Amino acid sequence: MQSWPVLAISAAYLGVLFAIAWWGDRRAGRGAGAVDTRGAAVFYALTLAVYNTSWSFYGSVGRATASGFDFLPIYLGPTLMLLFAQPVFAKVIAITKAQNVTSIADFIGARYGKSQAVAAFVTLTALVAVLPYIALQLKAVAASYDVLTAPSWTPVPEERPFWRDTAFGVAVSMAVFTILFGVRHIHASEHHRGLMLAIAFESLVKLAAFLAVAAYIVFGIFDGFGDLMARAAASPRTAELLVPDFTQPTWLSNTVIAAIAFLCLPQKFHVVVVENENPRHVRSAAWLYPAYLLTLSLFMLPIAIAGLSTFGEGGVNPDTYMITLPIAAGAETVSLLAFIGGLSAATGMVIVASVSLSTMLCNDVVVPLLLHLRYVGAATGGRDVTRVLLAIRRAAVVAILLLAYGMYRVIDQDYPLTLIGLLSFVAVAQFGPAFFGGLYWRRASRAGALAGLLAGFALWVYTLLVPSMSGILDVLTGLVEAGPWGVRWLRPGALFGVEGMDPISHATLWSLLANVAAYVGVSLASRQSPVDRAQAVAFVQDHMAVETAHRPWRAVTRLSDLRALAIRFVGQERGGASFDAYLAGRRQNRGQMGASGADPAAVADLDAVRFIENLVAGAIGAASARVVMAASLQGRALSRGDAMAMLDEASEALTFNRKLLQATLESVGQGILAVDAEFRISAWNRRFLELLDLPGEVVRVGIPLGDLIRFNAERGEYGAADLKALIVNRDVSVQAWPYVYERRRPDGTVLEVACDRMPEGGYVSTYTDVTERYRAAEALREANEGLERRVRERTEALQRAKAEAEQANASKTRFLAAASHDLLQPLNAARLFVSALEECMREPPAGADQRARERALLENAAASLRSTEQLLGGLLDISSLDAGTVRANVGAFAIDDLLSRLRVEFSALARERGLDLRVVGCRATVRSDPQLLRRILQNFLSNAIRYTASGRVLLGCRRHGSLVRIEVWDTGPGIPSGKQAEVFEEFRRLGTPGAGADKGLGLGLAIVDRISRILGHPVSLRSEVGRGTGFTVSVPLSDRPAQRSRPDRALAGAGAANGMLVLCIDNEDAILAGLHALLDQWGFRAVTARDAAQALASLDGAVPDVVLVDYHIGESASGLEVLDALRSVWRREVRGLLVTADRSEAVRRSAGERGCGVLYKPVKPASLRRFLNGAALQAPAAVGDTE
Amino acid sequence: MTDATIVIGDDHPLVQAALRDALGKAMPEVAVVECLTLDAVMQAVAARPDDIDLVLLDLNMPGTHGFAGLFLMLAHHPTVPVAIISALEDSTTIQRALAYGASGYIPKSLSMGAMADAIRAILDGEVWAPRDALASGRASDDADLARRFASLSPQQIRILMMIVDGKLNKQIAGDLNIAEQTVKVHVSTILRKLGVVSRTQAAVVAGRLAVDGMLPPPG
Repeated sequence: MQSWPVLAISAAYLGVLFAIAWWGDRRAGRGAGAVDTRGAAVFYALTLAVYNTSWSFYGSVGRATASGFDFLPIYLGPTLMLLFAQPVFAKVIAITKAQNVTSIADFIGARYGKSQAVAAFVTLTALVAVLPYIALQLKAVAASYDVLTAPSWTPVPEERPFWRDTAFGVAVSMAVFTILFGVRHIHASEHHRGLMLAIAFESLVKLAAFLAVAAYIVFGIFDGFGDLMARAAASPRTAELLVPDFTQPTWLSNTVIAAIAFLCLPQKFHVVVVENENPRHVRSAAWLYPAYLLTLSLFMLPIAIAGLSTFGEGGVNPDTYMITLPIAAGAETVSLLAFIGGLSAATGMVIVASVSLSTMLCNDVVVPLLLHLRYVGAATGGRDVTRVLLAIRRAAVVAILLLAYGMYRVIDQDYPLTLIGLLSFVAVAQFGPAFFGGLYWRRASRAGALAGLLAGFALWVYTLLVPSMSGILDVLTGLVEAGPWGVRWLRPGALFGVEGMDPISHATLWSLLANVAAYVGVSLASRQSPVDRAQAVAFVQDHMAVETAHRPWRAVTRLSDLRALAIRFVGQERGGASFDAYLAGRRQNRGQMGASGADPAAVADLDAVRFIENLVAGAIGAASARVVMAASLQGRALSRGDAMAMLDEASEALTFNRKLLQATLESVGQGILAVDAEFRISAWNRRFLELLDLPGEVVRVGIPLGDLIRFNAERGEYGAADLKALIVNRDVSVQAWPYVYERRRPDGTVLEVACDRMPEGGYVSTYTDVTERYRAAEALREANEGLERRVRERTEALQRAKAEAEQANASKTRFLAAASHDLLQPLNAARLFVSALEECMREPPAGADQRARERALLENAAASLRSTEQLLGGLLDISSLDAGTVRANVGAFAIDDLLSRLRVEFSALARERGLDLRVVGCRATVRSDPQLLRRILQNFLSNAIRYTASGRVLLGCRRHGSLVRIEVWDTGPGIPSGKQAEVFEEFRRLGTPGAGADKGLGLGLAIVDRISRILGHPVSLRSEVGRGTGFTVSVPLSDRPAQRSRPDRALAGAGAANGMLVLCIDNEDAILAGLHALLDQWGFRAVTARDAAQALASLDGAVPDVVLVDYHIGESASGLEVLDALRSVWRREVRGLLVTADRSEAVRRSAGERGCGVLYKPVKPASLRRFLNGAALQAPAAVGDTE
Repeated sequence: MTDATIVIGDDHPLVQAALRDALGKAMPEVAVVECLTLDAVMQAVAARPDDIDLVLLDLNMPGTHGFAGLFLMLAHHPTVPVAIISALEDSTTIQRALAYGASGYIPKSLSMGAMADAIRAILDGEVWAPRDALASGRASDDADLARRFASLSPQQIRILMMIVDGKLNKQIAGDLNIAEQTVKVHVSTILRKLGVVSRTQAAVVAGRLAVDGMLPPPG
């Protein structure tokens, strides 16, 4: 193929790439940003494919040709990382964003105390490692170009001067392209949107080209996979390729170094971490990118087999099969497509790698050197550093590519692509321990990282680079073959006698082993510097936003100076804008701090300095930024060393102190509120908010205490005492400290508030919840008071009771004396009458006259005794009334019934006395105990009749509201008003004439008084001396109808019988009829029967409570047998009563055996009834219920 | 000829004699057996249970507490009628007596003739009580108590009475001439039947059988 169309197409392709990049940059510049999220995720996954360089495009086929599946671990490593190490990605990305990290060297340097040494060493290692890798790309592109344009497809290696060398052209064009693409301006965050867009496009192109070419080879030249597999199986050489041997150390070693390289290769770190827009994209990439790899991998072996079966062993470089196979088949267009794909793969890698390497070189090697030479430090005066930085980077790009070209010239032309790549990977893998260890091991120190890197790198050089170079430098040959100084076990290819391993695995093993050992050992042995520790915390802990406190900053730098610094390093546009935005944010957040916080002329505080450091770090790396910041502060009030130490210590001490303080505050059980000298809130803890139920948004740093008090007052938090305490609080100057008071909150909790001054003005209040203590004290006090009160009450009650008891005792003594006297009187009289009668009867019997005298004596004696009996009855009544055993049995009854009975009772007596007793009835129904009420009226009436000499006695009633007043009036002597209260006392008889022998007992009204109290019926008395007396008892009316009083002997049907069911069995109908009638009358339910069968029929399923059975029922069975039969039917021991005339012991015994009572004929009704009533008592509660 | 035999249980010899003479005058057809204690009454009845037509029992006499005698008689001789004769005549006491199965209630204040009439009525199978006592219908809260006592066996009633007297199981066993173990069994049965859990509670329940009524009104 002619070379000019190839060149033209290549140029055109690069032109398209440039256009895409340019468009992408413009789009990003306009703020359009990334595409939508899902698209962004796919985009991100595609940019990851920068990993697949021409090594993948050409080299993996070569590797597959040589050793089958061995090409695979290189893809396995990244796949495993993406699938299983998501948290690592998330953490690295978070730290990168927080620290504004720009490259892998920056990252590792920043982790180890922002160490310039570490960063520089990482950069140089990366350079050494990546140069062969870039050289590989140059070689691949050059080789493919040569193959494509060569007249024959077996190019003869020839030495050409570099200006005629294809690779040189490639290198130059790539340098130009890279500078145009990636190093156009200094960017604060090193984001290259346009470049990334071009990379993503390239990833698509190389995938499409690869698939198209592979499909052409597999399906166009050959007959698909089956055909190829068949051919492979035909030859033992190819058949061997299809059997993967996982026991090879290659698998493990390659997987490990690929996994590390996936993150630690400079270009990969850039794409994966620095260019990442959203950590979530990594999650999508976790399956997208492995899918991409899988698609590629599917065709590697088939193409290898195709190449082997087409060209045979050794004819054509297997790395070029992608191009030579289509050429061999005559499809030049397809081979051109393959070339474009390979070119695409190569350019992507070269550009990104050289951009990131140049940034690293610039930030971590050149700038520090310049700073050291005081070039930048002295240039604080005003020159724009951005131009210098750009120039440095561009120069670095050119240098890198020239070095790579040199490397390409040095490397053996026949060296397989993959081995060159793996060489690079092993070197890059040396970053692994420092990188991953730094993320999780806080103890890892700067010295450890350096030691590990050095050891690893040294062993890499010795075990891998030296053997590789031995072919070029003859000096090394002897060393490689015989070992240094002839010590065989130190040979680079078989260290410590480890032989038989492939060189890559061997080098991986020893270099990583040495690396890790040195890293861990030295880290443990060395001490961390303050900044080292601070950064270790920042990296190992999950990214946490470190807020900076506002403390006086000793260095005197103005905000405007910082702004100038930002502009110098980041550029007028970006630097100025970022700083202004920062100031605006400050103004918004901390408005209460006054205008000074945001005034450009104001003195910069630590926060501002840290912001600028971060901003500058984006441009020149963390390590350099630290030096620059220190330099800018230096010369004002500080030496440079002081400034640097200050920056380090400040950040560490701040982080530490703040965390310590915060943790202490939060772990304290009390609520704490700190107020500064201007009465603004400066600190508090969560407990404070809990105790006072404050919503979080009310309390903020710097708000005036007054606002909080107002808020509390509005929700009724304060009582009067609290307000007073608050007012006192405000007057700090006269206040005695510490000041403690208790506040009772509206919800009942009690807080003890202790306030004490702080040395710098302001004060701290401590809030303790003392509710429990308070409640306990309160309860104690109440219990105490209650106890005292109860003691007092009980004492009073006891004293009262004692007085009452003494009074009662005295009254009883009086009562007894009076009673004894009154009892003895009639007894003496009776004894005298009986003596007189005895005298009388000793005389000889006489006539009727004598008989009449005797009768009179006897009557007198009887009257005396009756009087005694009555007196004693009254006394017993009083005692039982006093004992409280008499209970009122209240019911509703017609008052007329009671009155008419009293009329009957007393009219004869009244007539005897010549008095006119009038009873005036009434229809009212009252609620009372008729017996007790009757006792009251009886006493009224007998008193009235007794003490009234002539005239009349009136018993009547009148309604009075809800009461009926029952009144007894007489025309007696009357009771003087002074004595009216006395008449209700015991044995109080007013000396009245006329009563004579029928003297009252003096107990009647005392009994009335007691009964009226039991019934709750008030008794009153109205009297006028000489006119008469009226006693009244007031009884409540009933709202229910009166219960009819039962006739005298009506009890017969009521009570005990209770409807009990009685079965009577007799063979005589007459007896049955009589029994039936009798039992009905007594209130039992009777069922009669002549025998068992009839009984069961008559009962109709019911079971009687008692069976009354005649012994002689008939000829067949005795009554007891019938009873047995019935009991077995009912399955119950029903009570039985045997009626018989047979008084023999046998009958009685057999009845007794059955628990059966016996009643002999003729049946006595009283006995029968007694038995039945007793049975009713003993029957279960549900007597009378049929079943 | 004597138509009926009446046992009178009253602890006062004078009252006993007065009752005997009064009844002898008013009811010449009746033969009277006098007993001064409850035990004597029980023995008299047990001697010829089928020939005793009526037992007149004073409420308070040695060997009994209020109505306990009623239950003792009921348990031993269910077919022998028992009436109460007492100086108390308040309606509460009278109604309780009837609720506990008494065949009648005769106040001692009755005149001789009235007393004779009452006894005759009882012998005819009626339940006799002074009419005033029945005037106010009283809801019988004693029914349950009565039922519980009625369910006790004679021996158990005796033991309950002794428990009320505060006697120990050993003493009871000695008095009744039975084994102490038997007493224990009886006691637990008594507690179960009365629905109580301790001897003290049983004594309290049994104490409700005591009477505290009123004497007749003067006049």
